[in-house]
Amino acid sequence: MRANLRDPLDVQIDEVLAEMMAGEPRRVNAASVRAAIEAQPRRAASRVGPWLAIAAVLVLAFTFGIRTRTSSPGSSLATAGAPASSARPVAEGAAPGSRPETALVAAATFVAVQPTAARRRTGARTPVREELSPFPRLEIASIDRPEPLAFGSLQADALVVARMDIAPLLLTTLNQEQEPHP
Amino acid sequence: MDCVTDEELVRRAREGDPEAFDAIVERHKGAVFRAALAALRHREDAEDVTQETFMTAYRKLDGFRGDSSLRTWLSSIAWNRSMDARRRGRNRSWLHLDEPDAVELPSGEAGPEQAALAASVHARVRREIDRLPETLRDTLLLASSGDHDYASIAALLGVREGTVKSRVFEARAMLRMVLQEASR
Repeated sequence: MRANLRDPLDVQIDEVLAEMMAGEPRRVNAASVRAAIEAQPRRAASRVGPWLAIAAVLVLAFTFGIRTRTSSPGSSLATAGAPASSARPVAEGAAPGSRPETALVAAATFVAVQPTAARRRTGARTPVREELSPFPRLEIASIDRPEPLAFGSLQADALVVARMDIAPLLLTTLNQEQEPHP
Repeated sequence: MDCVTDEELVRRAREGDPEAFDAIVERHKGAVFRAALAALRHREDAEDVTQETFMTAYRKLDGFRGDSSLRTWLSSIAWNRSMDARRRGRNRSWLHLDEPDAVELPSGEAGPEQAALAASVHARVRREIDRLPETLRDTLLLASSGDHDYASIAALLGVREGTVKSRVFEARAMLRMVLQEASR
């Protein structure tokens, strides 16, 4: 009886709201939840896979960098007289971050270079093992240190302007004659 | 398990009784689903959230302190997950015609013309509900689910109970106004 007294619009709104919010989940039940929970550790393990692959690539790149460094002694000999800052053969050709794989190898090689650079500073020489060198010898020209910048030579003399005598302008000195027209 | 209280089920589930957790799922899956449905308005997404909610609840059951009812606790997990899904843009616009419940004609006794007219009116009401501001629509749909009283909805939304009441009132008033204007 009370429902009949209600605004028909309210009745329609209630009907639609009831329609919208009606129903039960069709796929979800205790079994599906249990199966999902039991599958969760396996899913977590599969999530580790990509990270393991990345770690493997890093280790390979690092190993490759060390091998490249130890099997091409020419680079260390050729750069023996060069400043320490110029002994970065791979980084010269590859702008860091330009390509991921190049940057990765550059990073690994840079890490591998550090012990060699230390040896070079102490004057120790790496024995040449040509049979282990799979790559052509890397020759790096030495870079001379630039002259230190001095400011003494930049001092200039004072600028002197020759004295000019200028007669004062007077009306009496002006030429009164008219110039003939051509 | 039907006559066992939620507290008892939680206690047993914490002790590792799988049947107790199954009973929790079966008892509350409808309310959890409807809370997600109120937020996402898409049944498939709401089902996904329902599944995720019970998986989260299983992991965090030790963290349930009993400050609120188990149903409110589960629904709040579902609500938060739904909000995350909504932010990610996972919820699609509600395709009314794809919903089997949505195309049901409201009256079986009416003639075909009257039934078609009533269906079109219902479709219009649905459209206007969809157009409501989010806060009003969320509150109205939660209140219409029949699973939660105003206090529980207030706890879910993090507002006061009075705010819930006023939002429901305002939402209904807006709907009435828009629909009356349309019928003129």
